[in-house]
Amino acid sequence: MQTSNRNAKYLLLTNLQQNLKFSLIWLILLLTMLASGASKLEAAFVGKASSSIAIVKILQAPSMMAMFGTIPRVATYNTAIVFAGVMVVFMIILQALWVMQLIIRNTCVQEENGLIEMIRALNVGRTAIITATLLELLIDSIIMSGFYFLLLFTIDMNGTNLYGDCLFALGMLSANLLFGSIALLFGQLTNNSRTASTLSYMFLLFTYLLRLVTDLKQQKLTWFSPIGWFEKVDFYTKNNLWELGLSLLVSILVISSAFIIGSNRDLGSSIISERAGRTTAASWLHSIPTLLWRTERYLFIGWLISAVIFGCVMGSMLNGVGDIVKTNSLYRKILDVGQINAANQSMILSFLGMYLSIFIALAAIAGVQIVFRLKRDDNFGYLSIIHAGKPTRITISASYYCFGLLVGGLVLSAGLLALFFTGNTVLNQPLPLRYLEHLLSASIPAVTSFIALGIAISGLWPRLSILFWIYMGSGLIVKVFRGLFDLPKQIDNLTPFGWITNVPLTAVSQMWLSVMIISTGVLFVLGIAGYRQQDLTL
Amino acid sequence: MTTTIIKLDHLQKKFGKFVALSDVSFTLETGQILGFLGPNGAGKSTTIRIILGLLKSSGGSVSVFGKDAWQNDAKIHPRIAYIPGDVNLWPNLSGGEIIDLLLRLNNQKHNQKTDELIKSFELDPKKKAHTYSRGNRQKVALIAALSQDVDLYIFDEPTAGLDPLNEQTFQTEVLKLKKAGKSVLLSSHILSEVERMCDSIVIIREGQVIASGSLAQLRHLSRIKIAVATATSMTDISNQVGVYDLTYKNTAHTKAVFTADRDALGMIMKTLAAKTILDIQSTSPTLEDLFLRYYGKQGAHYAD
Repeated sequence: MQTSNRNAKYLLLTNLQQNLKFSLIWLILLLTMLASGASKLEAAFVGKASSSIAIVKILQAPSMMAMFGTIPRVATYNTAIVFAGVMVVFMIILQALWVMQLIIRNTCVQEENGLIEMIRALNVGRTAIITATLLELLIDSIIMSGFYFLLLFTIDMNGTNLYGDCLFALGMLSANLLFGSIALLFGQLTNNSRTASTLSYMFLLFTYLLRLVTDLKQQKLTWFSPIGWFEKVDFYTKNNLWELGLSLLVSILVISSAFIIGSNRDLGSSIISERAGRTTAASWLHSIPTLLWRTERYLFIGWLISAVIFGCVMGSMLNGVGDIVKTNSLYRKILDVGQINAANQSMILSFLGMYLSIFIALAAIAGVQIVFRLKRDDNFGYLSIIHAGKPTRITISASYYCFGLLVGGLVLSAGLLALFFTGNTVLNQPLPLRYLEHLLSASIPAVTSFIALGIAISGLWPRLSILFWIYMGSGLIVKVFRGLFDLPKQIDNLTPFGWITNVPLTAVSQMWLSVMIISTGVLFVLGIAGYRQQDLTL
Repeated sequence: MTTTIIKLDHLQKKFGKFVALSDVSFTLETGQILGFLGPNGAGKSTTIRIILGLLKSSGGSVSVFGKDAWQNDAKIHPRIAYIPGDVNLWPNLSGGEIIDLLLRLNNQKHNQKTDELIKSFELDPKKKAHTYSRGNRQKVALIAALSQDVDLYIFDEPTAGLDPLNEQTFQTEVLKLKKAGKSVLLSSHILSEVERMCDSIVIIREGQVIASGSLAQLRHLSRIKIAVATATSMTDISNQVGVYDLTYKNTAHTKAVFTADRDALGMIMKTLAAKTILDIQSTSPTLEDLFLRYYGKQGAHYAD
């Protein structure tokens, strides 16, 4: 074992240095989220009994339960219990996005770049790369959870204690280990970073959906989702320790498998054997758009299938959303059937409104990924011969940008159609088609304006693509938490998420619709013009 | 009739404060094969990218086919075939697919020549690009470029990574282009390659052209290295025209090493013959010699 890991410490030090900026940004983001969540809730709870009851009620609504997870049913609520109910699932998802990327950067990406080949030819053990990556994950996670503990201890929410804070920090650490180890295993099973990250994110999505469905329908079954294990700890109430033990045990098993595969696999190989390619190109492969279809089609189809699955799962939940009003005896007594149906429908529509933002964000990510591929393909040198050929920069950039817009629009439409029609098959009172119209007419321009922002950034300031993620990420966070934290409406109005706030209950306003359509056009043109003027880094 | 294909006039390029090119001027005429030499980081690839309109110049002018390279790239590119120094290809496409795609994107088709080239370069077109070695990726780009019928071919260190047999195939193909009257800009490190194929040479160092001209004009570049042993002392050889870098290997001055201009060889031999030659070895200058003379700082005076 020792010989397999020789000189891992040097790799660890180099990787820590290499990923310092990346991990620091994520760490600051996570700590900010945790600190603002805890302090906002504490401020809302302290001395305001009415607002605390309101918050608990909001969180017990199906849409919030689906989004954040269940909140335990206890006689009196305090800040700590609500904090755990809101933040556990949310923080785990953010952390997973960080650690999965980190692991894949250290393993698959370095293997693709040929770096590992060079390193392995030195006096470096076969599994030293895995060991170094795992140690980095551990160090980063310990630092993260240390800060979590300090923050929680300092904010000292109502209802917290040292044990609870400590357990929360430990829980988040074990979540990092669990999702990091999954990415590590996928990295060993495949031979390219793209497949490894796709599989990792699919796993994350699957665990999220599984807990969402089980949380709404049958909470006992939430056990089947790894995210559910952390929900079941019931931080600050039951503080169940052995659920964390389960996650650690699974992490150890997954890590061991990664080590076994890593010490036996050929460098650059994958367990899935690859078929030979074509001798000549298909007759349709003759332009930049068809080239994009050839290279990005699996990514596109993957997104489309995920959107449809996500839509179907969410759609099948709509019945449960309505049922909750129906089964409430108090509502039954004071409302007649018509009123109950109307109340049900408005619950469903507000649920749809909440999830519309998630659909928009996912579709925008799918589209912007393609848009940002232009710069990536330039940097990798794939386009250098093409740039010297007949296709102009306008043709090349417009092809990537239009393909991005198309992917975003189609992923969104597929998801929403699946959501709406699956919903209508399970609902006793199907939703009228005009609500689908409201959904699509508001969200398609929202997605295209987000993607067009990505286009403008990619053309004008290609190195500042992080601006896009900051803008969309903060917009989404504000949208999701606005109701809970009582944030001012003006903040919500800074992004398209806020512009379509009452959709699908009402149609999007003409003014915001025009803003989104015009901004899409203007930003698209700016992106093309910017790319035309760029010094290409090939 | 010859016309100017590429004309660079006092070209400059800055990246922020870093000056990549400070003064690059040369021309490439129809039917000419121009060798573009220089050490790593001298600015060869930057110059080529400006010619292709991929980078915008910071000063001076660049015209290709009489048109501004940046403004009219769309009109210029269909008449060019290009091979970058470091060929990177879409990992999941096969070599065959990429060759066809690159041809079609320039309004050309997979033709008999393509098949011949695939055969002569011994490329397996079915393999996915990520399984190719550097040499094989280079072959994909070479096949795509050489099967095109265009006016100008730009090769940026095209044979790096190729084995000697494939290098030979490449040189044969370039000589065919020369016969067909095509113009070629060939950036290279390999002196023998440049000598065999090029009519003219431009040498660039630290973003400046330090020597340029036809091979005949730059004949002094290829001075012959001579090691000689004679029966009697050859002290007076130091006064002989065309003898450089003379070092005596013994005190009797009967063994010496020097470099000689090819033009002066006859006279030098006559002088040496008078001393009775016991042993003589002559070698062409190596790439290292050229590097030392022209690429290094001490070579600056050769620019004059």
